Amino acid sequence: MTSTKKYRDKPYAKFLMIKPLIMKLTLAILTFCSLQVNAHGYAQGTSISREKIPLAEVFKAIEQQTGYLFFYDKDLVQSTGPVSVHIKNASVAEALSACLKDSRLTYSIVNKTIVIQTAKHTAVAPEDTELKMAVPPPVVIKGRVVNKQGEPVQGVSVVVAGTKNGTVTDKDGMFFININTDRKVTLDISSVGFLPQSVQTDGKNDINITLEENAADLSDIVVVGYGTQKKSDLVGSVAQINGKKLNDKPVFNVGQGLQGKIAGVQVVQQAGGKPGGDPMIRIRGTNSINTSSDPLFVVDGIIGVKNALSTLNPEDIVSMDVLKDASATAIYGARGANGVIMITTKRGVSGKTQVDYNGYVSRSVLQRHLYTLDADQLMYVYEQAMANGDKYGTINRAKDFRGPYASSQSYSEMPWLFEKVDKGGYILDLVGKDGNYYKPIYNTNWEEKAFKPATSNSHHIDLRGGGENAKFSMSLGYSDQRGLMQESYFKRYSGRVTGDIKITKWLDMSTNISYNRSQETNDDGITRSTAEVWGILPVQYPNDPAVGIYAGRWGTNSDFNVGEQWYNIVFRRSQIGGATNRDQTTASIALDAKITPDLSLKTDFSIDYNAYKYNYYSGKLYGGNGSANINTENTFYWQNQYYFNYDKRIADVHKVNAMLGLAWTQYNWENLNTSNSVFFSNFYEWHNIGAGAQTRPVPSSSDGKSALNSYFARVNYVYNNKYMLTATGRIDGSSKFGPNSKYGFFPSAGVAWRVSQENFMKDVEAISELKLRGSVGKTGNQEIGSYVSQTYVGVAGVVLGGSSQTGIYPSAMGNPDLRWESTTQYDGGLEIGLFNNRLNLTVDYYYKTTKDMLLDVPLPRSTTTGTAKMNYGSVENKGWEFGINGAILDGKDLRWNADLSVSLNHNEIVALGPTGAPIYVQTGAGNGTNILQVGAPIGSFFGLTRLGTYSTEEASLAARYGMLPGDLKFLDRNNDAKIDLFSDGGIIGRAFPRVLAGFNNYLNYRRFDGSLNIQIVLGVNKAFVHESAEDRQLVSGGLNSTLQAWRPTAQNAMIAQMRPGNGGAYYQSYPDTHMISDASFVRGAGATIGYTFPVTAWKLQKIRAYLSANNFFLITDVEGYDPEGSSIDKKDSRTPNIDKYQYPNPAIYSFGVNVSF
Amino acid sequence: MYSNKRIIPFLKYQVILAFIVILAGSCKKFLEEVPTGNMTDQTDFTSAQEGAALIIGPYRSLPLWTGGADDWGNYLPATLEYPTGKAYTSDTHVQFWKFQTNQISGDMLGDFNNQWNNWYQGVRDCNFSIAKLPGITEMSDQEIQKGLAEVKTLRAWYYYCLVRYFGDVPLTTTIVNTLDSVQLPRTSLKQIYDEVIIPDLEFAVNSPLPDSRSANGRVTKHVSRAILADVYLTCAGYPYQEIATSPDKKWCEEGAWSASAYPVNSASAKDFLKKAQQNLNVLYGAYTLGTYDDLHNPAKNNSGEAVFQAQYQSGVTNNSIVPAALPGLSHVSMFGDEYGTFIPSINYFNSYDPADKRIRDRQMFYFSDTRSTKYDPTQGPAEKFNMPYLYKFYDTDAIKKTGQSGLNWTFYRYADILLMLTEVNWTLRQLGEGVADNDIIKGINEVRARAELPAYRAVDVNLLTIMSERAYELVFENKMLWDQRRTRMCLVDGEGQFAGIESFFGHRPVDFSFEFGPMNLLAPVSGTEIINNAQCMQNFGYLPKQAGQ
Repeated sequence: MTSTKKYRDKPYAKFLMIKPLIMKLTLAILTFCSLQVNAHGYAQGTSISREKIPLAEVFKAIEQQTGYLFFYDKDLVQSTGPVSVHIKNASVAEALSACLKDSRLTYSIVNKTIVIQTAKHTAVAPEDTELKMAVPPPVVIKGRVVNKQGEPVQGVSVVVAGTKNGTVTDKDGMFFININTDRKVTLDISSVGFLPQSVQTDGKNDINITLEENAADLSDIVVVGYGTQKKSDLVGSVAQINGKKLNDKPVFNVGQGLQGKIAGVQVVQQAGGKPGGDPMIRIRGTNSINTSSDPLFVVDGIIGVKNALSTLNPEDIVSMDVLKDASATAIYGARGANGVIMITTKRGVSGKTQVDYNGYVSRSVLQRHLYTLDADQLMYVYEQAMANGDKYGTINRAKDFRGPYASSQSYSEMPWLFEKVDKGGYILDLVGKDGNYYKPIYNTNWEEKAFKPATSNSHHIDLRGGGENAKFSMSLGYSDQRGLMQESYFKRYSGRVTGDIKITKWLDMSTNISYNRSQETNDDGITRSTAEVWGILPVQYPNDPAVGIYAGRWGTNSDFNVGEQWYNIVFRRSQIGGATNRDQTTASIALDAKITPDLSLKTDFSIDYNAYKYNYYSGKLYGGNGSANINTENTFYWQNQYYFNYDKRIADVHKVNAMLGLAWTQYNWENLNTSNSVFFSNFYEWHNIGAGAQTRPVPSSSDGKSALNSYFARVNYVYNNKYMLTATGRIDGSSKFGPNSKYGFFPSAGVAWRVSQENFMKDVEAISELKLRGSVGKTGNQEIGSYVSQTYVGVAGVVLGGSSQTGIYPSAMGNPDLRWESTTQYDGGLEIGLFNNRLNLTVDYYYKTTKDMLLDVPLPRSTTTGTAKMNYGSVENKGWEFGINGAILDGKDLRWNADLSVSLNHNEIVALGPTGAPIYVQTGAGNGTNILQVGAPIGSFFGLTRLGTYSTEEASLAARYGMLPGDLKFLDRNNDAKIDLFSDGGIIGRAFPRVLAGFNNYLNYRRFDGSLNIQIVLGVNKAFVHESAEDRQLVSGGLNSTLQAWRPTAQNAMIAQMRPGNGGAYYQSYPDTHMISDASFVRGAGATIGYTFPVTAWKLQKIRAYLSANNFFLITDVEGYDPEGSSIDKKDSRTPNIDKYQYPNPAIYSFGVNVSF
Repeated sequence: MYSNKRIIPFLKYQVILAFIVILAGSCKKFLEEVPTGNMTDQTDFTSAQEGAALIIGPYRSLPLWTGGADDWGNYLPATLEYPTGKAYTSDTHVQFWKFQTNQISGDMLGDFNNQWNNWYQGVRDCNFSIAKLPGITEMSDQEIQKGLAEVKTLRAWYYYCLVRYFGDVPLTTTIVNTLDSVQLPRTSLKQIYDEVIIPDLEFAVNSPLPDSRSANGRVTKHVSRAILADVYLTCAGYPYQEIATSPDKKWCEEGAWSASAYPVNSASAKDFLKKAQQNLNVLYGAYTLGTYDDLHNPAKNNSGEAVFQAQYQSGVTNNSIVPAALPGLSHVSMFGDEYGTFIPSINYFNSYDPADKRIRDRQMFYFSDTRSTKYDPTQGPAEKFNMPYLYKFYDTDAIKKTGQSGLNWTFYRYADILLMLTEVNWTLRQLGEGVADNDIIKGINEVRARAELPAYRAVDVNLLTIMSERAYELVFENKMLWDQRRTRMCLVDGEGQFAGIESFFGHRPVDFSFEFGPMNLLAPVSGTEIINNAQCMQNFGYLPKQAGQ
């Protein structure tokens, strides 16, 4: 064949023939449109009944009926005489066989293209040269392409180097190609997902080629907004993780799977080991202070799916694509500022129906400990504290149980807690009023009572199949994640159905419906009691009359009546419970109409419906009223989008893809909350809220909606596969802003240069890919509540004369001038592939600046309600991202792929509110106080500097502050003899790390596979807010570090001398340096070893069993259960590391199986 | 069989048509934002019921009087007693030690922030209602005038609290709705008295409001008169009189207090006292003193000797001071916590006359109790109290049964009116006005009679006896702090009686590590206000300071 040959006169057929490479790309694009579906089987549906018609007409009919394209030499087909064809509802294959059966032609189908060739190559009659061919007679080269496993690879492009002569392999991996020169040519072999190869024919006409998988990225196709793109054409910074890597260890939520896998993506399990997890994701730092900094989740095209992290079943996911720079995110305009995570779920495949099951059972165990005062230590602290009491206050003798001093009860009057011993029979001389010696009866380790090993399990089954015109998939999943704490769990039921239907040749429809239901327990505030309850208490007293009124009662702090009332965790858990129930339905129907071969129109209508219900009951404990809450919320989101997609290749070297669309979205919410109290019994809990007798239980409700109207466009242009340009623009109109600033424009532009495609690089063999990228763009953020631009008038019930009357008052301060918050991002990237892409390196530098933040500006309370949403302030993020992956070992039996991601982010507040005044968050003792201040990063811990304690020699210095030796000594920055948090405090730590890294390994050895994830986080602090268990001695139980308190013989201490906090002695507590620790860590995030059995019985395709360990080692200096996350009540996404008795993060060991039918 | 040659052009037109339809559709309406659950400032208030709601709204800040001050057990009435030097707490969360060591600051928990915020919230609500009430078309002019009188009385009350506590404060009397005018400097407290507090109250006294007692917590002329009398009495003292004589001094900012003699002898003081006398005379005889039990009985809310109270209803809006006044961790109540944070100091208690009925068990104090059923089904005796506790906040039903108190908090009651009457008349005589003996002693002696103490003769009445009687009768009703500040005199604790009354300057309360100085006459300004209002200076001696201050 030569380029002078005449081909079918359809313009796109010519286009296809211009250069086989282009054809390959078109094929690839067609493949992408069907989202990673392999076109193995061929559907029914062709009907032709004609006598003696030219073959070309038959092909035309097949084209019209099936949407397949024919690819053939016109002369060749014309030389074949007319045929008679009688087929009804036949598959393409059957139709082709029928019409070609008498000819010398054969066919092969690659995706949706049918290639017609002469059958003589099929070794039937190689010497048959009757066909009309140019002279000299062509030589036919035959070959077969297989992968490393020896399986044939279909659709591989085979091109004679330097020509436009090419073909593709058939389903058996076979190709035939005519060459009309001598037999020594070079064939360029390439295919998506494999490394390209060049093969010298060297006179052979039977060539076997083994393709190497492209270690860099198996798919090579990334999902971007409103489409897909070939990775090599990409201008933006997009990282992809496939389902296999996401699920390389058992994970209950998507966030856990993503952790440490992608540079620039930080995943924090916010609530520690609490089931359900609630992961927080930051892409390239925190952009904003009061608006959400969570990335946008786009699940199968549904934008902004709620709770995607916790409700999506990770097993349903095929790939996640993280759009990081503005070139990639700006197409989502107003919602793209925080990065976008595109989630693609599994869809049907044509061919044999495939069934996969994955299930595992896991065991969680406590990994680290909180060291609290045991009974003996507590009694020591008590005795010491009471002895020092007079020094620090007017001691309350009613709380002094030491016999000689006790004004009322003493050890001897507390038989429920103390038993008589001989003098010297206990480590301490606890003397009762009766003169006898006593010791505590119980010594309870509350951590042991609170946290016990737990068994979780998860099951997921999916079924995928279909024919050529209709493909389906369905899946069911069930996860029961159990926390270490009793009655603490997260259960999820998920189901999804997808369908891809070819309605006509030019119209495709795809649908999906997914339903998730989850139930998550409320574990708030319970963990704290492990440190606050006295170690001398029992869980429950024996039912013994000797202990009087305590018989059969639960142990509570007031039984040793010195301090705060704390109920022991077992009792509390039996009385307090709650659960959040979520039902989510997402559904989408999308149509793809092909207007011309180049132009298509896509439209979708999608919904995301969420029903939330929170039930809570706090029991009567002893004497309480009991209170129940039911809070419900329904949210309904819909989107309706229309967009044109235009794909065109002009001349040889210009590739253009353009997209233009518009969208409407609306979000509605409504909630209804009700509560009641004064229950006469714990029986009802929240199940019958009318059983409470509260005088006036008033339900409350609210509703609202917000809407977006958007217009967007994108142009991708590639010149000669070397130079790429992408420009996008989006106009978003939001209902949330004032009338004059509803619309915002968010443009971006990016360029890339594949240096490796340049001629001068051809000789550099080591470098297989070298690409430079650069982009700039603007994205927006509008994640604020509705109606904030308006000034509210509030309504309240005001009690007057014993009855409630309605009063109105000015409430929130509105701001009609409110406008968009925008983030401008610059990104420069470098991609290098070495040694045939066996080693790949991606480096990115970015600089982002967020302006006109939608800031809750603190305002004077003398004139306002205290805050208003205003466009103030600016935050910048800049940083480096490094991604390295490589096939370290690539043998036949042993393969080891590893990837390392490292990210460095520098966050800084550049400007704040109108006065530039800092904003303090969570101020006061018992908090992880943090500050938002110009020049400092978001998440800066603020507090005093604890210097230690005043020594005896420093008595006069201490007196200057009204303090005594043994009291805490703080740095008095302004030296004004007063200690004040704000005047003497400073920045004492950071809650976001300087360095994030993940090191992931994937090993295969024969039938064994393994993976290992190491998570590394450096340059970060944690606030370990345990003042309540150290400073406030005897107010409640405590940490055993209290034993390090100041003593006259040990004056160099960080903890004040023991004194009875609730016995009349003062104590000092501030957020300070003592609670801040270095929270850098190295964690064994996951390790898995799997074995695939050689099973063929019962039609099984695969059985794999695996053992896995998550969080199996942790190297860190931090105190407490985990360097990451916060206690539930201190969760603050601006400051993620505040631990006030955090839920422990367990080590998890799992056993699981994957079965495929 | 169809042909795509026909379908495709058809579809194209369809698509183009659809686009035109969509684009031409009203985008404006789609993005319009119409709140459904909240009225906005654009809402027109015209109906009588909307007018009624405008009058009620400003009352919502009154019950915040007993609200929390942010730390466990810390309630605002306690924060008004701690600085007097006559309070105690058995629980240390409340940081009483900072008062004892002069380490308080504007950022101290919610001690000062919450007071500032609560009172200013009241002011804001009043300004809104005062602006909107005249627009109510369904109300007669007289009804609107009555409504305005109620709301203006409340605004005067909120400002009165602000200036007594903080001194000069930012002044707003209109709705602030532009974000560029929210930072205001402090206005002289004298100007606030002269231009807002006094005119507002006089407006009410001259309004069509009924000149009778309040039966439901709503403002009547009696309420306006009681506040106005107190305002006049305060203006006859400090710091008003000092500012009136030297208006150029920056009193609040520099702590340049000079005068301390009381009473202040000036024409202005005399004038104020006479006006106070007029109003008190209207109230005199309009009420009777009941028993001390009435003080802690929610059934007696808004009746008996109550003149003006913050309104509570058990389970709906609870009075939070009841559990704070309980002995700490005493197990006597059904409350979740017994704080022990609102306790007169033992020296204060010892300064009562032993014969005083008020210190007899279960009058104003109590010394023992039984355990509640929560701890002991048999309700056996509780642990011995280590000191006397206030019984005047002992809401039995709340303590023993419900754990939720609907007992009103009293701002003014008749005993206070009687003692003010004695003080006003005694002071006028001191300033040379002719006042009958009986007018001096009638108030104080009615109070003493109920306490079963001997009557005073006119010659027995002096500042010590008046202030002592106020301390005995109005113990922990948040009066002493204002008395100390307006008179610049402090009672010295004693045995069986107060040992004396001495100048505020140099007074050192028992267990305090320092002597009162000028700074202690004001509270530190809210720390958050200092941070967010660059125009607002901090009071002398306190942190946090304004940048550059």
